Amino acid sequence: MDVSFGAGLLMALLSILHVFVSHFAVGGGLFLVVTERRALRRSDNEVLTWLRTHTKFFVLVTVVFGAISGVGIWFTIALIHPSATSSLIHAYVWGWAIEWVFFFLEITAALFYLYGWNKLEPRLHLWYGWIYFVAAFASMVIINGIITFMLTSGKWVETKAFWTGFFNPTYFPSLVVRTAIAIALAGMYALVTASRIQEASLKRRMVKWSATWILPSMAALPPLIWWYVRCIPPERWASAKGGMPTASHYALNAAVLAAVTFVLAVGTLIRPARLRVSYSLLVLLAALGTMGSFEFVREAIRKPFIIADYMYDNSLYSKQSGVDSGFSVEQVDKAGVLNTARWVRRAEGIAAGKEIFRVECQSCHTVDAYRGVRRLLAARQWDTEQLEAMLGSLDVMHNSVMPPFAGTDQERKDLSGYLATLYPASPTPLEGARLFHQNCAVCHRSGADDPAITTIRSMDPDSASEMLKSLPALFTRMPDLKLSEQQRSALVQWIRTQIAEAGTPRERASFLRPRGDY
Amino acid sequence: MLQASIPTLDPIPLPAPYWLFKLLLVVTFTLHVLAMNFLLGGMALAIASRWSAARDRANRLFSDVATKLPLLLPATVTLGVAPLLFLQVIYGQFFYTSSVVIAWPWFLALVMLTVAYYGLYYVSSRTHRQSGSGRWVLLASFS
Repeated sequence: MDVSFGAGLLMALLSILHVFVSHFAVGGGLFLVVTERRALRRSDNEVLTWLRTHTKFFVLVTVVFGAISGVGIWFTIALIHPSATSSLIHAYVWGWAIEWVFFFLEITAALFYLYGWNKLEPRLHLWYGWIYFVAAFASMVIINGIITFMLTSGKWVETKAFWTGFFNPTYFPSLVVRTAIAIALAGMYALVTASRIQEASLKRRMVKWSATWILPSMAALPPLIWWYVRCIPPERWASAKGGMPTASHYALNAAVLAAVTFVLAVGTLIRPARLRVSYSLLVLLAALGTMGSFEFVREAIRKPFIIADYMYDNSLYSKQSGVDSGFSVEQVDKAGVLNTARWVRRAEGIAAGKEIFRVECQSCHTVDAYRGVRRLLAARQWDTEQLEAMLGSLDVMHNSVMPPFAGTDQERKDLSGYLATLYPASPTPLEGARLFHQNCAVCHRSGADDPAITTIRSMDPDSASEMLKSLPALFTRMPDLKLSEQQRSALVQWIRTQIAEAGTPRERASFLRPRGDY
Repeated sequence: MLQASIPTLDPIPLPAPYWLFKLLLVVTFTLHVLAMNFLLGGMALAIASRWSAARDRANRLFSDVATKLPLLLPATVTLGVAPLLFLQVIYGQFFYTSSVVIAWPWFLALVMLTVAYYGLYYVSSRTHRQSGSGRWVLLASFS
């Protein structure tokens, strides 16, 4: 299917919204208990009343949307990338199981905390809050291991041991960065409920209190991110540059939006008692953009892998592992991709090429929409032989952002055949000139004042090309040349662009004029 | 033919014996189904009592049940996550195949679940009219 809103975009939207809420679920838990503790110590009933409202908002956002969208991510990855999902499930069964225990604890404690307001004894109520926060943080501790493993699998590829993959090179920097983000987000979400407070002095206090969660943790982010980036192997970054600069584009976005978020957050302190709901939502929106860009960078630099050094984005195992299902590059090279993949139509020639495109390329490319190959290839004008040769070096193109082509030589030929059908070889000026001088110049002067030339130049290229289909129909004395579609459009293009407005042909055209050997 | 379209199980070996995962699957799935039945039955009760003629007692029953429903839904969801994990561990190849075949309905179950979830909070927060019986039809599709 060739759609611009595909599975990848659905995944991106869903997971960005999810992380934006789930980080709040972690930091917001800490915010609740710390704020409640302070208020209890000072017997500050105003703050406690507000915090009760904030808890409702918190539960409705995190426990409902956060939990369901988390399951939603799981549903989605299982649909769009079953092999990688299965790998992650198998390698980390116990990790997921423990995470589930924390998840269960988290939801239960959150609901006790919500319904316990004004019913439970304050100390016990606070305890539920702490249980919630610890469980929420613990579930991030676990999921962080799996997410960073996908980016930097480290020595796991050799050992396949749980802890080697879990405590991989980016585990700790990522955990610290995400904790800082979680704390900052706690303050930003708190701004939303704080902005709805009626009473001015309470509002002023709560807005300021929220800002103390946002500003220091955001200020800590640049050095922490720098540490994170330093732990990523340089070749991961290299693959993101060159032909597909998605990562550097989003890195810039993230930096700019983070600065905007910071400035907006500082802005809440100018007149804290008069903070509007719309302004607090604007802060959240800027933060959402920052967070989304950050996750886009992480995903982009991982390419061509879905699990670093283990599995490519198109489900091919990068190395043969002995017990795999035969879908490693090495084995597919021997056996052929259409003989190995399950859900394919057996075919030959161009039809086979189309199937291979679906299996190997379509996890990242569409034909016409997102990263559409038609546009990419039309710009390069390779013929079938060139395509075939180029496919052999796919894995070194654009700083190695693509997996290698896997399949037999015949399959490579079939894929090239299919790709070549996607774009017409566009007419070159040279061909147009040659056709003109070979066939037309004997009667028509190649000058702009020739009636045939002026007629063609006054028409749109498609109908001009259509008109040249049958020359005797135009003028009975003209020969029936039977030019191909490509030749006709080459001719029309040359006539339209290469013959100068007034009088004589351009230098270039006269240079192209055939000599005696034509 | 059918066999041929099912992929082979993931190459990464399981970290524990098969029976343990099977046991965990059956136990957690039973809990999931229990919670789900409470939820479904609770919703049926809530809807019936809302439209019942015996106003006074029905109203009490309704407000009693309706306030508990927002707790039963997260219980059902949370208890559903564990069996889904163990299912993917031992029957991954069948699970992925079947869910890809019914991709959109499968995915939409979650969207409907979110709608139902917020709906239940809405209903329990104000004890006025049930916002429609369509909701539990949607929920029935998730199991």
